[in-house]
Amino acid sequence: MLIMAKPMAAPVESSTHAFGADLHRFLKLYEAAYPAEVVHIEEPLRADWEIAALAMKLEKAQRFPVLICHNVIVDGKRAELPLVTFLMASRLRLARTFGVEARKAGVACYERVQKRVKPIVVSRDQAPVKQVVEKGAGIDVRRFPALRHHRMDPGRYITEGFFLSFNRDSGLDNSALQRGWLADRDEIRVFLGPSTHNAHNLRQFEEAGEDMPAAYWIGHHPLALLGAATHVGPDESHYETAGGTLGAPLRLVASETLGEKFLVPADAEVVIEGYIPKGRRKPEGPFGEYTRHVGPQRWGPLLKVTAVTYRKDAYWDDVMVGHTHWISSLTKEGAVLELVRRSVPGIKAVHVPMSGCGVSHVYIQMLKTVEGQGKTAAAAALSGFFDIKHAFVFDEDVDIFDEREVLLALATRFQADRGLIVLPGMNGSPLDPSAPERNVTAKAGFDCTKPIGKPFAERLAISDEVLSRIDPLKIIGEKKWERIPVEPWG
Amino acid sequence: MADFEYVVCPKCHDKFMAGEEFFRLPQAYCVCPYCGNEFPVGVAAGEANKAKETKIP
Repeated sequence: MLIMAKPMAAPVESSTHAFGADLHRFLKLYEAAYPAEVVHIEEPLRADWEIAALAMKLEKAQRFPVLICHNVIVDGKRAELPLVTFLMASRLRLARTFGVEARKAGVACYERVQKRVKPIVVSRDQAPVKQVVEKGAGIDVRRFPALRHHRMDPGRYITEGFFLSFNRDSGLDNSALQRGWLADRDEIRVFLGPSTHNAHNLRQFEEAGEDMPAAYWIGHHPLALLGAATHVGPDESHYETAGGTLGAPLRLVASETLGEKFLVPADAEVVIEGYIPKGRRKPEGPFGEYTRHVGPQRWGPLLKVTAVTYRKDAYWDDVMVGHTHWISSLTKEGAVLELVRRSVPGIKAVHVPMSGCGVSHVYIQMLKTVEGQGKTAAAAALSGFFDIKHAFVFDEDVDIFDEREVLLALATRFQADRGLIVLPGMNGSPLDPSAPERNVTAKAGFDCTKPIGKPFAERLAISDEVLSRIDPLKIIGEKKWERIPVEPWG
Repeated sequence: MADFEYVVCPKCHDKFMAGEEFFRLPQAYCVCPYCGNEFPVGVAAGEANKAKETKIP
């Protein structure tokens, strides 16, 4: 029995299984392997706030099973489709799916992304997502059990949905997790951050005086989601990165209403096709953001829906934005490690922790061999990624996946007048509530490494021999042990 | 992030955050996330008020 819950430190059984190649197969195989981690909820729960409240309480209790809600109540009626959420909330689960231990999941994700795999095109009859096709008056996206997550959200949102568009000139696909408010039966109001590739594609179409064909694809194997969510250059395909993480070509199929060249994932749970009318804007938001704060209402574009296709037994997939999910962390850790290692060879590990919203903070563990490498590593991470705001660099004896260790090192190995670097006026996240102006932020690096060539106090230690002999359960007694309260602040 | 202001819905009187563009763009209007009321703010509200004033005999 563990004295204290330390999920990152728990040994993980290595697996080479990818648990299938779509969400359905994944859930079936994962549940067979880890039945305690897939929870079926039959109790009717409202799409408005109740499921988000359940997830919030699980998060507080540090439990992250996949939740499958079979009876989601939408506007007083039971939704036809079940909802899956918290799929991406467990680092342990995603690591198992990569076949590595939890600490290595980010590196595994990065390595898989590097092995781009070109997608293949299949016919409609081979595409599960075409089992149900709705067009015209039959469309009503509000029937889907999308959730309203937080108090100021104006309605129910697509959150684990990839907004898909194609570059007007090159024809290259671009998928990005971008939120969409189900505002009307055939209208989804979307938020495309101004510097995103989808916003760039929209500008191209609007400048040419054209509507932009676009779609949402929702629900897929978690590794496909990680691959598609990985930031890549404007001339790179997200379908290929998704194939890389999946370890197999992503299967694509022609759209119903956007032409044969507009290809969507054949194994997605749901695809919503449509177009963004040129120049039209409507209010969207406010929305509870990944920063755990509310972002304001925006004047943004809308997707006019022309077709909805889905599996007969489709799941509606949701991600709890503003709560634990490892999408941004795992798609960043390996990339940071690779980039920083180019400047400082002794980098051992990188952790993008959930306490920094899975984006803003990075912990770097390194073997320092030359004075100044700590600051160099911090500066490389801060300048290489616009949304990393604070970089902390530690020696290799600091467990960067244990935040008590991280804060102890900050308290005992850091001197602000020597170890701090501040980079004012940098490009930063537009969603940071503390930013003095939009897209601008001050960044800081914290060199918490010991000085080289000078004596430094040793960490407290007790020999392994003594530690192995002392078993608190035996000494205190198992019954008594169970009754002693666990205090997470200890 | 200082690129928004709190606005109060004239119908339900609850407040929410609206981006700076709503105060700058004459065509922009807000939608109350609580009651769905659509209403102009900023430049658009000024235009709407001006139109109302001109209608008064």
